[in-house]
Order: sequence, then structure tokens, then C-alpha cells
Amino acid sequence: MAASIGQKLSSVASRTNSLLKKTVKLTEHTPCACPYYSTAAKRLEHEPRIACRTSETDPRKHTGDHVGLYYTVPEEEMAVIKTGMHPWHLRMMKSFNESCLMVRKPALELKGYLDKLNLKHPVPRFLLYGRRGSGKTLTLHHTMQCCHKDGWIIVHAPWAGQWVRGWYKEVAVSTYKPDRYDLPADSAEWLTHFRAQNLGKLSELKTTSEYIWTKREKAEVGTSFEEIINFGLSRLKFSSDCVGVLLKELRVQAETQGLKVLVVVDSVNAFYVQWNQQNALKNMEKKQLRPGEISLVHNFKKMLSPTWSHGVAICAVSEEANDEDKREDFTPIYLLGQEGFEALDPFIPIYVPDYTEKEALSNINYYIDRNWIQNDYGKTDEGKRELMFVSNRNPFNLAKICAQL
Amino acid sequence: MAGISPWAVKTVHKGTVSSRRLFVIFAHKRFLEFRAQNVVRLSSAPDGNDRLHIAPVTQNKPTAKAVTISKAMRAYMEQARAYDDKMKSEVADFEIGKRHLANIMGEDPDSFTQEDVDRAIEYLLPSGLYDKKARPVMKDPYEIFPKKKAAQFGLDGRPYHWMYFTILPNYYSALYEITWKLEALKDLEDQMRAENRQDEMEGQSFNTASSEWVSLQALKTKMVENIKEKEYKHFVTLMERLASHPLSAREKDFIMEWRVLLQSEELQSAVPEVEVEEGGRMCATASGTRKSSNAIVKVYMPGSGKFNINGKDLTYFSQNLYRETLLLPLVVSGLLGKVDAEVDVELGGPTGQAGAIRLGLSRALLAFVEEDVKEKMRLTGLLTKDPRKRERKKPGQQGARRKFTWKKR
Repeated sequence: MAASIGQKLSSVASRTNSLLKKTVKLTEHTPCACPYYSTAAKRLEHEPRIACRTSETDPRKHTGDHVGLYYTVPEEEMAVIKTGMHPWHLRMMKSFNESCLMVRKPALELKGYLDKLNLKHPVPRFLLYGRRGSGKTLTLHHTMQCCHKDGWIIVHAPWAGQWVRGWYKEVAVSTYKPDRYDLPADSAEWLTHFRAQNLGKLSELKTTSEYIWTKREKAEVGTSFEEIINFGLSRLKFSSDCVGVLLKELRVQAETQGLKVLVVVDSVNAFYVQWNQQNALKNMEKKQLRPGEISLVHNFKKMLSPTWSHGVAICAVSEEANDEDKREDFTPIYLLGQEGFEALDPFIPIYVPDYTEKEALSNINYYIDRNWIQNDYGKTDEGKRELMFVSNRNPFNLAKICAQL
Repeated sequence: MAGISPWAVKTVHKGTVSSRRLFVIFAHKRFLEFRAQNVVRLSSAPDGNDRLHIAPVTQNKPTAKAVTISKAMRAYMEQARAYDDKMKSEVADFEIGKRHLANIMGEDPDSFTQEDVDRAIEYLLPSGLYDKKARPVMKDPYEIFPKKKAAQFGLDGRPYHWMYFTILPNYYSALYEITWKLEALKDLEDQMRAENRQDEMEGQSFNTASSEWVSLQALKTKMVENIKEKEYKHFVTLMERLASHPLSAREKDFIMEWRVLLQSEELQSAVPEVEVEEGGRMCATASGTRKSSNAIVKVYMPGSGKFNINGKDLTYFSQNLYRETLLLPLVVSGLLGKVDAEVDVELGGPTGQAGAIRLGLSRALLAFVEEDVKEKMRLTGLLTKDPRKRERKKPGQQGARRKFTWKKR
């Protein structure tokens, strides 16, 4: 009996050995001759060049071959996405001394849809969903840069949660409708962001109807969008109304002027679910406000309804926009709730997955290239495997872990 | 030599003719004879140790003198009789009680074992008491009542054991035995060297790698004597001397009586069996526990590093710390990314669950690694169960250790 078990074990051991001796190399991208854009310290000659970049900086030309590779966003286009970017990303880019984004599959999928779109139809809605930190926001940025190159007008809400929470915020009763509430500071901020993203395109656009602010102040027919924005920035009281005016004019003129309008809303579920008791916005009577009562949210919701054409709405749902006890799942139907799902339905869901092994390796290699990973063990195959295991190949998690190495 | 009586040895010894060893030989022989002549009393006791219970069956030869019984002996005999009577009745009670219990449980009284008794007691008298020692129990009386040392001297007041006056007869006779064996080995060595057979001695020394000497506590229990630290050291030194002799493997059985196996040796049996599934994929199953969590881990080889924990992947653990816990066995065994694991884990919190999975994973991985890696894993502490548990709250205190705030008034 003992002998047979011994025999069995030894045979297993030999089989195991044969498997163990097979050293499976991690499959990386093959090196390509890509230019070195950075002004950072020059690479040493003897260092092997790790393939993690592509020289194709035009996001419109990215194909499936580029998936997992980093491309450099030129300075002038960086200005477009910069204002809407999370400070965390900006800090990372500053540390790396260059602004690079990874080409991901969902972005390509989205671009494929946009290329084949018939703009005459009512606005189609795309909804990105995925785990926390899987790259939904950067996918949006990738797409925005793409559309910016194509000359689209971009209407971008970087983080919808900002408009429904905060106990320190100034909340004013709307000058347009008394049962609605304005957020003057947020509206002004958004106007600046809108102006920065569409620099040079707004002066040609004129209003098509008259808007009366007060008895003495009004915007005549034919006022340029620039002027509306300037007015909103100088008279904060009307900044929310200015946002409403701009959005309405865009909806009306998109078809007549032949515009292409890209509406991007990050963490759209903030529009449809109630934020928690402590930090939800409150009016002067300390009454908690529903998202729909806030004029900014109200106006943006109109942009998401299929009542106009020559536009596209791309949204992302995120767990962070929901209350802490409503973050069990990351699917749109769970995060949006009944109301949100009905409002956005029908939409095209796009899943943003965590990194594949190739993408994760490319990311780690990029960090090594940027000296973000300095630990020698982190540069070995085993170290990379451990990083991938602990982070579970989640991009944000990987970045957090690598920050300590 | 055989014709010389033990008493003659003494004479020889007192003369200067014979060596001391001669005395040793005879004394040892006498010791063995003594052991053979005496039978073991209380042999029904489960762990009856012959060192403890040595007592003669009436061996006193009829003498012309009137038998005088010393006072101490008389007192002892009374005590012993009382003890014996008590134990006899207890044993009878226990046997009857066991039969009753078997009848209550509707089982055959003749084949009712101690395990059945334990099960029956737990069923009939369920107890929620925290301390297991405080719960009702029914066991052989010899296990429950403290043992009593049998009389060490006969009716005439003469001690049975020839080392009685050393106070620690068992201890010193053990030392004696060791010395004797060592001397014998030395003789043998001399003889082999004289016959030029040194090459036969290769590999004849005892391998101490997988075991260690019994602890002082264990030695005390084994000898039933109050052995001190100093005496224990003396014992170990002597044993070391025996074990390091080039021919010590000949006395392996004797040496192993005084040694306990290390964990690694026990582990050999703990390696899970490898099953081969359809498609030639091997898998091994093991379980692990930590705190109050239990995990059953099934490891597949070859794999690609996929984890399935209660139907989720590694996101089952939200914190990196817990994933790192799982990482360690894979890194130490060098199987990271080469195996898949299917985990069923229940109870407890994330720390306990991660620890339980780690233990189960390490045990399951044993099936796929080499001997040296197994040893490495053991040394890393992967195969050791973390015995810590939540400590109970005590009455009159705020928690397990914390006291209520003390207020003067």
C-alpha cells in the first residue's frame, strides 16, 4: 500500500516537474521603433527598450493592434481634456513628465460605433460600465480627444456627483423657476470648462431666440455663445441659466447648423439616485434636494433624452456616485435604479473590463520605463506576476500598489 | 561468568582484581533479572507504566524470623487497600453504568466503546459550559482518579528497586541503561577497529534530523519522578553522547523511545492525494481554518492563476492585504500563475477567511511540489495552523482582559 502511494506520488512529482520546468515567459508586446517624446532624463543605452508605447498619436487611427500600448497626447489636445480630468491623473502625468494614455478596447469599440453613426437619428446613448478603477473615465477622455480632432462640439460633465452633494455649497433659488435651485459656482466652473474644451468654435455660434435676464439685461437674438459665457461668468447669479441657454441652443441648432455634439457625462447615475442624508444638497429651509430639482442636472438630463438629433450621448456609471450601501454591483441596471434605467433606456452598454495580461504588463513596463517602479524585484518576471495577482489586474489598484515600489 | 552470583560481584568489586565494568555487567544483569521477576500491577490501567507499578507477587521466602512490619509499611498498606477497594468499586460502577448507557441508547452493551460513551453523554447531557473540562464526562476511573504510586518496599521494609535510595530510581536506572549501551557500542567500535572493519561503520550513526529529545515535562511524566532542570540537562547530554556515536543506529529503537518526531515527519501523511480529472488535469483538495473560518481549497494543475472564491474572483477580498495573504504560498512554492484554485470558504471575517484559504492552499499545493520545497514551506510557517482564537469575555470585566474603569468613589 505504502509502496503504491510512494510510486503514485513520485509519478505525480515527475509529471509536476515536467510542468514546472516549462518556464512560460510573459507575453509582452514586441518592441517597435517608436520615437521618444519625453524631455525627461535620457534613457541609458544599455537598458533594454521595453515595448509599451505606440508612435501613433492620432486616436482616430488607433486599431486593434494598438490595444494595450500607450500613446502620447499632444500638448494642445491635452488642453481639451485637462480641465475635466481628475487631479489624480494629472498628478500622475506630471510625475511621468508626459501625458500618455493607453489604448483600450472599449474606446476602440466606441469609436467604431461613432464612425458608423447616422446623426440624423435621435441621439443614441452609450453607457460605459465596469468595476471601480477599470478605466471608464479615461475611455471617455480618449473618445473626447478623438471627437475633438473630428471637430465635434463637446459637452462634458466631468463628475456629475459634484452637482448633487456638498454641505458647504451655495445653493440659490433659480431665477428662472422658483421650484428649482441653482449652483452658481459649479455652473461658472462648468462654463469655463466648456469654453476651454471648445476653444475657437463658440464665437461662430449665435443664439436663435431672445433671453431676458432682468428688466435691464437681456441677450438679443444673434448673441454669440462666447458672450453668453462671459455674461454667466461675470454675473454668477445667472450662470446656471446661461448653461441652460447654451444647452438648449445646442439642441436646437445641432440639426440646422449641421453641428456634431458630443455629450459626455461621467457617473451619470448621480442624476437619478438620491445622495445620502448628510451630504446631499439642501436649500435654505434645510430641505434635502432631489437631483431633478437642481437646474444643472435638469438641463443635462434633457441632453440625454432622445428629443434632438446630430448628437451622441456617452455616459458612464460609477459606484462612487451611489450611496455607500448601494455599491454592491457595477451593472447599469443596479446603479441607475428604476428611474434612471427607464430614462436612459434604450442604450448601448459597453463593458470596460480590467486589464488583460498583456495590458497589465504594458502598464507595468510603462511604470518601469518612467522609473515609477524602482524596486529591482518589481522589474523581474516574478515581480510582475505578483503585482498582477495582488492588483487582480485592476488598473487603479495596480497604480496604487506600484506607487509604493 | 554466569555461575557467579550477584553477591559475588560485590566481593570481586571490593577486591582490586576485576574492573569496574565487570561490576556494571553484573549489576545490570541483576537489574534485568529483577525486572523479569516482578510482574506489573494495575496492568488494566490504559497507560500502565511498568516503571511505575513495579511490585512483587508474594516473593518473600518463608523465614525463621517472625515477620515484622514497619509502621510506615502498615500505614501504606492501609492506604493502598482503601485505594484498591475504591478503584475496584469505581470500575464496577463504570462497567455497569456503561451497560446502562448502552441500553438507554439502544445499542449493544458488549460492543459499546469509549467513543460511544462520549457521544451518548454529549447527547443526553448537553452542556453549554465554555470550558470543556467543566462538562459532564464518563471515563475509566483510572483516567479520572489520580494515580497512586505502588509501594516501593516490601513488608520487611526492604526496597524493591535497587536504586531506591537515589530518590529518583527510574531516572538513574535510565542513565544507567544509557551508559551501559554506550559502553557496549564503544566496545564494539574498538573491536571493529581492531579487525580493520572501519568501512562497515559508515552510515551506522543515528540520524537526529527529524526528531528531538523529549521535553522536561514529558520526561517527568514518563518517569513519574520529580526531575529538575539540571538532571534533565544531564540526561540530554548523556543521550547526545549515545546518539552521536558512530554506531548509534544500532540502538535506534532505544533512542527513539526518548525522542519525539518533528512536524515535518508527520506531514508526510498530510499530503493530499492527487486526483486526475477528465482531460488529464490534476487536482488536490485540502482544508484550512483560521479563527472561526473554514475553507476547502481545490487546486488544479496546470492552470493559469485563476481563483474562484465562493463564485467570485479575487475581488472577493476588497483589500490588497488579503490577496497578499493568498500570494505567499504560491510564491514560496513557485506555482504563481501555474495553478487554478476553487475555494469554498465560510464563517468569520475577511482576515480569518484569507488565513483559512492560505492554510488550505498551502496544504493542497504540497501535492505538487518537491520535498525541499515542502520543507521550505514548513519553515516559512505556511503549514502551521495559527491557533489563536477570540478570547472569551470574563464576568466582572469589560472584555477578555480589560477591566472596568476604576473609580475611587
